Amino acid sequence: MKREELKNKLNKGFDQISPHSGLDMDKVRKAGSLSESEIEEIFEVGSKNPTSHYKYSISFAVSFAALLLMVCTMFFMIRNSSYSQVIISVNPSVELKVKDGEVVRVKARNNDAKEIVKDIPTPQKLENVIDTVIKKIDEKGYFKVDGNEIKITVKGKNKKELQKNVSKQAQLTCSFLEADVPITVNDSVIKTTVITEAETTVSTTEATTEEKTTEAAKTTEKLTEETTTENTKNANELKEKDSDNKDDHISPEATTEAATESSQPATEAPADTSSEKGNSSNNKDTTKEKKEKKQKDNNSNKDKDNNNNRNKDKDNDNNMDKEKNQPNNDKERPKKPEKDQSEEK
Amino acid sequence: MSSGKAKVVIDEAIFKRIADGSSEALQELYELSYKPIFALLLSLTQNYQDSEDLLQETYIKIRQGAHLYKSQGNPMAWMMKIAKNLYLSKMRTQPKETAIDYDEVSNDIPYDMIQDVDNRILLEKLFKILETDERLIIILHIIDGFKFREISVFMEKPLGTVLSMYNRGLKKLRKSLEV
Repeated sequence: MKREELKNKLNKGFDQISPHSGLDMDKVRKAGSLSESEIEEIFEVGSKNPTSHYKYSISFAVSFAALLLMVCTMFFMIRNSSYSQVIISVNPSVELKVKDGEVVRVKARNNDAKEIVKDIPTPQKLENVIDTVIKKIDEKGYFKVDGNEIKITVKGKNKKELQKNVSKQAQLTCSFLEADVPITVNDSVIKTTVITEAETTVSTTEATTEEKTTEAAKTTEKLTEETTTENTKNANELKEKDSDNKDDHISPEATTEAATESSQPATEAPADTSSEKGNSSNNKDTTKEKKEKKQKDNNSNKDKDNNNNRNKDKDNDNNMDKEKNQPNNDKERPKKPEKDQSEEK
Repeated sequence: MSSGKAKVVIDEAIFKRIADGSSEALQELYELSYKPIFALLLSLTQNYQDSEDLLQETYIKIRQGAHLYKSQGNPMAWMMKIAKNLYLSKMRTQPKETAIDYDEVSNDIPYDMIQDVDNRILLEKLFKILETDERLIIILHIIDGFKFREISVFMEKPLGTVLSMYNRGLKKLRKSLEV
């Protein structure tokens, strides 16, 4: 059936079905006047049904807000996911934001940490920052408080790798500081410093063997050069610190010097010679790093040209001449008590 | 209109005459417009008796409220709105016990009044197969000569919905008649 035909039939049908009674005029005449409510309800006068548009605008606003919220959340999730977090907590609590092995932001999580956090430049290598932070905490004497421990929490990207690096670095720094503090990384206790000291002893004795002596000497030379460049800026500060520390340690060193003499000269001599060559910044940090890196990379490659750095370092030469021999003492310092222990054994 | 009944043309001046109390004017208006309005009411109520009552009532209201009419170019739409509002108002005020579910009761339309068998069947199908909205749109467009835009305003539905409902309704009708 065509549409036109359909329309015609419908029209005819309705024509026939419509009532033929006509309008009842009696009823019309009897009807009174309209009431207010009738006017409003039937003639729609006065109330212009305001809900329809209002309703749409509300739903639009709500959906827009929801969308905005979603976009914001996603944006922040994506942004945050590219960072990892390292939280070092003793009593002062320090939070580090790490991206690609570099600390991009250092944040104090409590008031005690504020002093520690200031003057830490960013971006910097994670290892350096951890080293600095732990040393500063030690300086303030927080490790001396009974029951204190280093609690490290690692979160976010590359968690495992970071955890490994962080715990290694923390261990090294603690062993250097001779701080007997338990270290916890993500709730699992790693080796306390006592054990670390024992390890250090082992490594030192290893270094004394004839085979490794020359190798170690070369490495030391190289490392001295490398670390010098990194720490030139802080050289003066650290030197002062160094001399303070030395005063405390001189006497035990003197007594144990004879005992350690047999093992040390082999490793020390090249360092000395290198410093004579031009690597004159024999500051405390250099030697510390030397020792740490000796343990880490005994077999690392040697030859690297640091002539540029040497030139820079010459500026510091004069200042350091006086203290030339002290770094050696420093270097021996952490080892000596161990030596004593081994002797006792 | 391309076919069928042309849109009912009403002179707006008639409302002024009605407002002034002219019975002839009201009679005139009734004769002109009662068929489309009755079709609308029948479509809404699906009950012949109720539609007749509502039709009478609609004209009483028009007589009472003729002075409220504002010239807006479409007197038919104004009258339709009154009829529809009366129907809705009746639905609301009717006591629950006597309330009739108009979707259920659709058998009291006197199809016998239509002599032509084809037309009768078509009308029966119109009331039995189609949804209320589809039927209303078809009646408004075909019988009352409303434009789709006017229907969309009258029914408070988007134009697209009105169009798709209209086409769907016609398709349903044709399909039912072919079987």
